[in-house]
Formats: sequence, structure tokens, C-alpha cells
Amino acid sequence: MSCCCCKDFEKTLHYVSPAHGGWGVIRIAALVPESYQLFVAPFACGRHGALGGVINGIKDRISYLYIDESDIVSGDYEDLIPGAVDELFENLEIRPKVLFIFVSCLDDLLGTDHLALNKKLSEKYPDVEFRSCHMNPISSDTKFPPAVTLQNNMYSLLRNSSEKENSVNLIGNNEPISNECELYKILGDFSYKINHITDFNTFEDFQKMSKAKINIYLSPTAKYAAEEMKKNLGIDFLKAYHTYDFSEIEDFYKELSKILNIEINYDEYKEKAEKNIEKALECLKDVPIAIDYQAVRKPFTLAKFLKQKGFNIKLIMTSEVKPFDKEAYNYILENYNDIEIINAIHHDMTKFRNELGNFLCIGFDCAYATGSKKILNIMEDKSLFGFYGVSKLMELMVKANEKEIDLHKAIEGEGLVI
Amino acid sequence: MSKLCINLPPFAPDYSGAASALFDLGGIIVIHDASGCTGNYTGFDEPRWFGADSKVFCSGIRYMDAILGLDDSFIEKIKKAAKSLNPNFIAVLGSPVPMVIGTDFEGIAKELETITGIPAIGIPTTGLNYYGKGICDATIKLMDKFIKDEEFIKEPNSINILGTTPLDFYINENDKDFKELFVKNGINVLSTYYMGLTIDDMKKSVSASLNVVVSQSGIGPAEYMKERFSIPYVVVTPLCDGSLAVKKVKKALLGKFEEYVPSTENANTIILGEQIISNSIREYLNKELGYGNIVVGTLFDFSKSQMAEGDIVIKNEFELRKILNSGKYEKVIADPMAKQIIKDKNVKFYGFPHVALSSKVHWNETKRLMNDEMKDFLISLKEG
Repeated sequence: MSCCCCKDFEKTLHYVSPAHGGWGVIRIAALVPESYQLFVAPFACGRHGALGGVINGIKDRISYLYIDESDIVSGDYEDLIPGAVDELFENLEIRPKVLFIFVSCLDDLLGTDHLALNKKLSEKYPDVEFRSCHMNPISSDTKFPPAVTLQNNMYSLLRNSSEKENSVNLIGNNEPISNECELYKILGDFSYKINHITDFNTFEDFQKMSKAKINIYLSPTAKYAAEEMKKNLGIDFLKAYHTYDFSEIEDFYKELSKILNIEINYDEYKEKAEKNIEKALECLKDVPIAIDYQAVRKPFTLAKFLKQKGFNIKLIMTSEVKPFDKEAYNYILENYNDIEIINAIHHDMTKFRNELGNFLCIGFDCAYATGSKKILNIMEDKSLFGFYGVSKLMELMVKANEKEIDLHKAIEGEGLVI
Repeated sequence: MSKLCINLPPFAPDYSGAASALFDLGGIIVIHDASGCTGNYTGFDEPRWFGADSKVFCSGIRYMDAILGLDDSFIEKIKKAAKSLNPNFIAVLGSPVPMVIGTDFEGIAKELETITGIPAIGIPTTGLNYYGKGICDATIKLMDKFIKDEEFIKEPNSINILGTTPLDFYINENDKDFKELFVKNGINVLSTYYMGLTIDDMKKSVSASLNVVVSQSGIGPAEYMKERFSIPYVVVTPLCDGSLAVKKVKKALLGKFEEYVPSTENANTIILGEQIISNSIREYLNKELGYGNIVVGTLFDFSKSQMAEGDIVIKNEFELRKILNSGKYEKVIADPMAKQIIKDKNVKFYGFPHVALSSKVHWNETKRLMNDEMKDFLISLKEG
């Protein structure tokens, strides 16, 4: 180990790298067609989201109701909300089909009656669906952090449908997986359509997702939403986190075969992925590789897989070990002591920047920390899934190794929000 | 209803101002929040963050910490970081959650100082005030901490520049231009608050003969230094060739303080933004280009003493909307984001980006105030 940002992930002050961030709740909530967002919070709480909204082209679907000290102390800031909704709707050219009312961390300490508030608003505006959402990172270590409750709020908008069709929903992935992925071909052969929230431009169209036979959730943030959809809409679910590990991909297809009662044959796609790995390995065999937790959700699983295939994995940066990545983490600890594991948010990260070596970096965070210039700039696995994901990852790694990029520009281009 | 904000983003808050003021001083700066407040600052209010060595951290407060008032874990984390990073000082800054649970930042700072032996300050920022207040509060806390009450030998013909922050002037060398202007004109600049400032600079700054306040966030510290160290101050942002500012400063160094009283009656032009920069633009347009009758509309913190009769403090977007669509103003200078609020297409709009408003959306377009481009901009406004 060359630094003490070590792998035991002790609790420290959080270092917030300029490469840190993601979609943020605003951009995710805006995926719901014809929705609008009203943030009710001290003005400071909304700044990053609003500016992120401007950068990502969705600010025209977000407004703010600023609350001040007297509103907080008196405890009745919720009384301001109906008036603000009236004023907002008067000012909007088109009334939205959905209004997400976001509150911030403060609300966790104040005990607002959101049910009563939504009831009141729904009575006045029966043509609008109201949902109370929480942008409350203070709850990040609970069962219901903001990313989880938001997914549930989004999909709770689906109305129960007795009509079912041959379709499968993919949920929890902000970006749709590439339509070049074999999943499209495989399910298409059995006349199944794949739905993703970005496929729908109107709220009514979005309702088609309630007719699906199964929800496949690609991120842990959508697990709760999938469970609720099973309870309320009768849609069964299947977990399929983004992974590049062949055995995990195969397990997914086997499970999917069972649930849909179809016979899936993935051999040709697996074969292609194997070939792409061999090709990539020819170019990258000796290239030291770093992987971070913002690029892929399972950095240890990816590192283990690539290492076993012969790649020169040298560094993994993450803020914690997720339960679904723990097995690979333990395996790496036991078998690969040449792989450095670094806590990306440890306070000592401010000491060791540019001193960790030069790598082909999968992710912005490890690129920033190491000062490396060869960067595969993906976030949250992007559109990579299944054997296609592995093949594409290989292509992207080879390409990234061929050319240096300007990290600052690349980060700005992503429109990251914390 | 006046608290609804439909078009503009929220402005830079007090904790961003405080962290910005402390950024260059070699301390550990901890914002006591869950993550978003630190994200506001590092992601949108600190243009220097990319590539910086400054030690800015988020405490990562969680629900049970807040409910049970668990300051111990907060203190323990800071203690660990301080041991490893050996900072010049520790600063703990507040945010909305600590405000609600009543976190005692001064008490925490005292405890940290006792445990670590490192000077510590607590700044109870809340996220309910603008950045200027944060800058002002941080400066005063630092001076209270680092400058002892003893006799100071005044250095003749010397100044400090107060209020030079990236939140007002970005990082396109405006700070260096200001300093160079005064040095070139034979004036000794002891310190520039806050870009490139060191603790030593700060200690030396109390020997100055005069403080030059270039933005509103410098007014509070200037008042403080006037009272504590008997340093008078003059308020002006250098523009174009800087001659107006130099003239003012030279006179003030001789003890002559002139007040400029603009006429705002029948104004058809409004400058919206930071109070002191806006005032200085108005003065330049009036004195150097003969263009008058301009109103200043302050969007952020303001000082009553710097307001002319007829100037406006705009408290929210509702008021801004009313003013911009009142039909009174033919020309508007403001951050480019304000343009979307104007309904009358005949109103001429002159974009003047301000980091504390539009952040990275427009910060690359921030004007360098002391060059020909700025002069051309002001001439185009006069002639437009």
C-alpha cells in the first residue's frame, strides 16, 4: 500500500472529489414524462440541483419554494405549500400531470404530514398526481435513502392494469441499456418488448409499463420499487445488477428463462464477448488498470473478473463495499495482494493525489485521483449490460487506451450533481 | 406569496462564502452536512476546486447523529484528519440541519482546539443567508483567532484589498489585475482578501493605512478593521484602466474621502447584481462616459451605506420579475440567467455573469474588469 486511504473503510470526514457526483434526484425524477418538481427547502439546499438542472436542460421543469428560519421555527412551512402550488400552476403554461414535491434533510427532523398535504392538493387539483419526495442524504445509511424512495415514488404513479402484454420493464437504470444488447434480440425472438422509462414521452404512454409481465431491476435503488409494484400491480421482479462476470450474466439468463418460461440460448453472445476479451487483452495485457465505484456499481466484481481473464488490475477506488460486491472484495483480499484498494472519500485523498501511479482508468474518480489521462468515461455502467456489456467494455477500454483526454472537460460534460 | 422561485437558481449561500474565504489559508474546512451542501460549494461555488490541494470536507452527518446530537463522532473524525493533515487551523461550518438541532459550533471549535492544539474556529452558517455574510463572518472569526491585541506600526501608503473572491470575480486574474493596478501606481498592497491570502498576510494586513473594498463581502471586515485597528476604508471596484479607483484610493490615503452621489431619478437603466461592483459600474458610466440615471438593484447582501436614493434591494424572484417587467427600464445589465425573466423584447439586455448566481453555467464568460473588453462593453451599453 502506498497510502493510508486503506481498505478497511473506516469512518472519516468525506473528501468530495471534483470527479464525484451522479445524476442527482432532479434528473432522475424528470424521467417521468409530463412531471414537474417543486422543491420546498432553505434556498441553499436547491442550488446544486437547480444548476445541474440548467446544465442538463431540465430547469424549466423545476421551481423552488424557499423557506426561512421563521417558517422552520414555527413548524408550519407545510402551510405555505398549497399557496405555492396555486401560484406555480398559475405561472406555468401547461399544468403538469405529476407534481413531485421535494423536501430536504430538514423535513426528517420536523415531521411534516405529507399524506394530509397530498390529500388536500389532490382534492383541489384532481388532474394532477402529487408525490412527496425526499432529497435527504441525511438518511443515506438507512433502508430508505433518497434514491430508493424516489424510484418508488416514480413507479407508484403506474395505475393497476388488468391487461397484461408481452413486455418486460427495465428499472433502476437511469440510462436505457443499448438496443445492441443481446437482451433485446433474445426477448424479441419470443415476442417480448423491453420497456424503459425513457421510451415514453407522455404520462399516459408511461402507464404502459404497468402492463409488463416482469420488472427487471438493474440497481439496488429500484429493489423497493419493484417489491411495491409486485404488491400493488402484481408484476413479478428479477434482480439483474449490471455485471461483467460471465457466471452472473449466465445466472441472470437462466433465471429469466424460468420466470418467462422460455428457453434462452446465449452461447453466441458469450462467445463474442470471449473473443472481444482476447482481442482487448492483446492490446492491454501489461497496461495497469484502475477501476472506480462511480463508473461501475460492482467495482470488485469487475476487477476480479478482469484479473482472472489476465488483465493487469492495479487499483480499485470506492467509498464502501456494497453487500452485492462483498464476495468479490473478499476474494481479491485473499488472492490478489498486488491490487491496491483505496477509500475514495478518505480525508487522506487530499494528500496523495497524483502520487498513485499512471493507469488506464475506468471512471473519472480514479482518473482524477491518479492524474491519469487515459480514461474510460462511463458512469454507473452507462448502457452496458449482459454479454454485450462485456464486449462493449472491451472495445471502450482499448479505445480509451489509445488517446488521452481532458478530464476537466469530460467531467463538466457529464453534468454531475452531488 | 413571494418565496416561489421559478426561473433562477438559488444563489450561493453563506457556507460557500465562508469556505471560499478560508480556501487558500491552509486549514481543514469542514461543512457539517449530509452531502448536498458540500456539493453546492465544491461543485458549483468554488471554481478553484479542480486540481486544488485545499482540505475541504463534508462531515457526512446522518439521521441518528442529528437526532441524538452525536457531536463526538464529528469531533473524532476531525481529530483524525487533523492528525494526518497537520493544518494551519480547523474551521467547522454549519448548514440547515445543524441549525435546526442547535449545534454549538463555537463549543466544538473550543473542544477541537483543546484536543488537537490546533487553532479552531466555529462558524454557524445556516444556508439561509447569502455568501457575503459567510465571507464576512469567516474573516472576523479568523482575525479574532489569529490577531492579538497589541500595538501595530502603521505602514504608510499601504492598502489591503478586501472582497476579492471567486464568487464575485471568478478566477480569470481580476484579483491580480487589482493588485497590479495599485502597485503600478506606487501603492503598497499588503494583502488581498481572499485569493492567495496566507495567515501571515492576514497578520501583516493590520498595519495597512487603508482598506480598499472591492465587493460587498469586504464591507463587514472593513468595518471590523476600522473599529479594531483604526484602518479607514474606501469602497470601489477598479474598472477598465482603473484610474477612478486609483484616484479615490490616493485621496483616501491622504485622508480625503469623497462621496459620489448618483442621480437615479428617471432612470431607464438598471444594473442588477452585486452591490459594490454595480455601484462602480454606474460611477464609471457616469463619470468616464457621461452616461447617467442608472439604478442599482442588489440581488445579494447589501450595505445601506452604499445605497443611493432610488436603489433597490431585490429580495426574491417575484420582486425581480415585477421590476424587470415594470416598463421602467430600457436597458438591463445582469447575469445572463436573468434575461429569461424579461417579457418585453424591446428591453436591451447586457449579460454580466456572476458566479454566485449562474456558477459554472456562465463562469467562463465572467468579464475581466480591467481591460479594453470591459470598456467596450460599457461603451456599447451607453451607445446601445
